[in-house]
Amino acid sequence: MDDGRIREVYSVSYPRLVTQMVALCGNRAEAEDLVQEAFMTALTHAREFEGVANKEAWLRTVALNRLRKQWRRAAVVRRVMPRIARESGPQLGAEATPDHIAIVTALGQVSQAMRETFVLFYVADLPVSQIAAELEVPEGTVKARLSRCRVQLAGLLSDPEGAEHA
Amino acid sequence: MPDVRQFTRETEHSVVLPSFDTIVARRRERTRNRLIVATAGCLAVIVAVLAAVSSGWQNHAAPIPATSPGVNPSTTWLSFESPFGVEIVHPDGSDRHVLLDRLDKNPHDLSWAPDGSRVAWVTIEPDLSRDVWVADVVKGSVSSQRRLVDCSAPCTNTETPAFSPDGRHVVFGLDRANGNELRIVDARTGAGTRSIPVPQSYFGPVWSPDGRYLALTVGSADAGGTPDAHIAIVDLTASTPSIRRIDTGGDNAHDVAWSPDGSRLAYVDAPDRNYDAGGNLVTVRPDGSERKQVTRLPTGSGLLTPTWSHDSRSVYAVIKTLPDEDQVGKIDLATGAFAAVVDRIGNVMVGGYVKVG
Repeated sequence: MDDGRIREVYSVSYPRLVTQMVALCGNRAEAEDLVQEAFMTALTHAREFEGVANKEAWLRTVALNRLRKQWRRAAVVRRVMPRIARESGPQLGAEATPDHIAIVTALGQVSQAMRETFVLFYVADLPVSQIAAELEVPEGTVKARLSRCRVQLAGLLSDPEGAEHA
Repeated sequence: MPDVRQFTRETEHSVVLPSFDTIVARRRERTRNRLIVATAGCLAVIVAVLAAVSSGWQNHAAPIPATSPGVNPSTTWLSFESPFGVEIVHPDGSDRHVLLDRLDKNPHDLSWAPDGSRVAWVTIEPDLSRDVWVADVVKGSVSSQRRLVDCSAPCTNTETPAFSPDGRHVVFGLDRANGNELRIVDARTGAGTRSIPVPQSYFGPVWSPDGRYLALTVGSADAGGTPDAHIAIVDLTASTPSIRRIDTGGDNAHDVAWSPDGSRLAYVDAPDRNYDAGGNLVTVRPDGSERKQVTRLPTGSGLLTPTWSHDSRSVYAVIKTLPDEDQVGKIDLATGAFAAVVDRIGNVMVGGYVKVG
């Protein structure tokens, strides 16, 4: 696969993938780095990438796997210095609105599995069947996670003024 | 309630697309760096082999890691964490398979009983609490899984369980809103037998082979707020155990493991306090003397979570040599030479705990 075709995928998928990674990791710079790393992997495995039917899904899986690794390693740092980790909230950049920060903060408080499922459904706008395929879990598991996540997020995002809207 | 779809639209519109040529240039730079690291690695292996030959290793080298009495080599396992869950593999690299599935409450921090017959680990429950579980291990599969410790309020977190040398107790970290502690419980019933307050942040308590001490990593922040990490010892024979730091010559030591005869500790020295990247392997006596740096890995490489082989000649660890190509491997303590057990796991590898059971 020549660079030109990867460029086409890049221009279309990059903003979407960065948005999904922002929702997952709560850090704009880290999200951009994850997606750029995924495209670097695509360049390295250009022949394999050419044969992939859903290229955005392939890139998302690469980025997500890398993020999972960082989560585990970051856990080492959190255990060494948990107070610092707690004090460092989402870093979404100057353009982030309070609502953006609230959403990402709330997502950061649910389990990794639920967060991934929620982001693929609501942010990536994927159908349940595709989420099940990408996460390699049964569709029933996806639905159950979405249900539990909605309940948890509703509790985390609602406030006395906004409760009736939730 | 904030609108997730609005978040998606606005964030997508705010993303500035970097030039694709930047990505291409970064990849070229990475390829060049990998070539340099690979060349350095080859040279290190050649030097290590020459050193081993000159020291007459052929006279005493064992083809298979020795095991403790009563444990057949064919039932010796290494365990490590991956996105699939906790996996195990024989030290010769054979029969790699998932022991605990990730989808079953996200198991991690696996610990083996000294005779290899049981494991303990921590799960993340549906309500996000983290409980300690135990199970029997028969022929590379778990059976009789049971919750040993239910982390409910005021417990907020449990982590890194470890069996006592006689297999009768399990120690683990337990966090509460009003303070953290090391909790020692009966390995069969989960009944608490002892609590040791840990005023600092900490992780990974491990038992000395004689059962008298615990070694762990403790952390604190310096004036600039940068986390540091130290290896510390807890004397369980004292009526009020205190935490005594070992002089490791720095403030970036973590992931401690006790040698089978109790005479030495192995730990990771993380350069520049970059705990995620791993570091070099160091051994030291429990009193802080005879500190020895075993590996001198090239910049960009590092290891995590060491554990000793039964014969004390080598240490198993997760080793980062290249981006996204983590390995589980064995480090010869005499030469520092490295041999892969599970090779190039790729970007699915998430670090973890390598234990010999």
